Amino acid sequence: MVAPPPRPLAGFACLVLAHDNPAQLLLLLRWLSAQGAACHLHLDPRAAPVRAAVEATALPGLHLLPEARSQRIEWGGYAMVSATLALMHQALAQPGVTQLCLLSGTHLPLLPAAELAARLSDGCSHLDLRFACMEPPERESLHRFWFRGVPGRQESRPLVRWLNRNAWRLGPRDLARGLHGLTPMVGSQWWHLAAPAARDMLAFLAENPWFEAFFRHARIPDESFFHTLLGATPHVARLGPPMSWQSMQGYSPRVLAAADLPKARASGAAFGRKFDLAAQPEAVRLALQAAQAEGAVIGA
Amino acid sequence: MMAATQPDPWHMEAIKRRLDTLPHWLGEDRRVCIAGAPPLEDIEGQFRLAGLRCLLAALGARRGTQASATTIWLGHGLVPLGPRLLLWPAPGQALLPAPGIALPLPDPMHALWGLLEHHPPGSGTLHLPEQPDWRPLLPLLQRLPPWLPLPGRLRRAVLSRAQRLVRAHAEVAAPRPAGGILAALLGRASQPTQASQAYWRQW
Repeated sequence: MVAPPPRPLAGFACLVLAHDNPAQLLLLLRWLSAQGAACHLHLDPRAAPVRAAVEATALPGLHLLPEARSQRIEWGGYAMVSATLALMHQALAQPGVTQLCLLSGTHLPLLPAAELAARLSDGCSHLDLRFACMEPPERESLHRFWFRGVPGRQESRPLVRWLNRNAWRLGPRDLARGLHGLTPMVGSQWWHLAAPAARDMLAFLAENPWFEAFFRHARIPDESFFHTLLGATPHVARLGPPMSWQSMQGYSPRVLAAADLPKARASGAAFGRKFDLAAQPEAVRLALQAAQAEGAVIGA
Repeated sequence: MMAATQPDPWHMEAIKRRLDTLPHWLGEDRRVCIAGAPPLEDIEGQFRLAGLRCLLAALGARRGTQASATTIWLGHGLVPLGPRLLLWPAPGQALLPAPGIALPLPDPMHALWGLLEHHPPGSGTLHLPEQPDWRPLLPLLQRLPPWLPLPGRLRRAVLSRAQRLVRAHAEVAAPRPAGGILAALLGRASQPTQASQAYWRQW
């Protein structure tokens, strides 16, 4: 009798947001599925070819959010938060979920599955979480909370840039009143939450509808909504190092090359982005190879 | 002189959360009247007042009259009379004997934690005056007659200038704990005094 394959990521629900590059996305989904993770996938309704490619695979443990519940996502808009919340509700409705990881379609693991599971199963939530007031003013700081914003990429859309640069003329919002005394927090969009923390966050939202109403008018809310929300729960006392690593170039993360992998692994993060099979196939091959190798040495 | 201490942001957050128990003292209707507000030149006191207003706004408290609401006395002037009186003088300030409840809470200025930008540190030490009168530090205050009731916009402008002054320095030498709290709210280190050490130990 053949023993069943090990499933180190059993209990993990990976929430994946994607809109293009189906070949890259499928590499991530296949790896997660093979390790026993459940994948909850949100695809932008405009990404019909990606949806078709995913539906054709019939991967075990893959839950694709129906098109009717999917959001048309604009960079920096609230739809990103809505999509993530929809995936959280879907994932937590399944039995046996112990961990939630929010990933993009361009993430790949930086560790073998068993090591990744051990690192993230310490009862902590692993995310980049900082006080917004401590950010340098040129990095938005409290401005993203004070002033309303129009979603869209500012670097390529002059009107969006003009509107956002002039939003201060309307005056700042009263943060104490708007956030009911919660402290504004920020961090990278990609996170890992222990399931009890995620459940308490959703319960908080159900009891406090003003929270979502406030963030509908915040700038780039995917980098502040979940952080401020987690900060409002006692689970903020159990924080681990961030789960995701990326290398920024201007306002966006750059595509990782093979030479970036040692630095990525040395960060200790479980996942890295941004990988692109078309632009840097060697980096993708090496990342997946290391993720398959049992007992791979971090930083090797 | 002791070395300046940098505030720990998570300690600041924990102290702010202690203020969440204020509704317990306000009564069910949460109608509040603020009494004993500091004069304009007492900038530390003005930040205490701003913190209390933030806290009450966050709690959804409404303004009431002294006759019907819970009165919070901030420590200036005579202790008012009222059906329900909460005493909240500045840390280190003596309580007047009054038929009120001394709030077992940290200073209301902590409600401003997370709502004031820190900015990169400036240089040098800002020495706050021995008396809580910032007129020597802020020329704008010297131009405003103390009897003039100031509109909120001008009051905010004064507080904004005070923040800029603190941010322009690397650390603050504060004779009163309130000055040290203000420095911490703006991410600046402060040189500890006995009174401020006792305050931070307590909370």
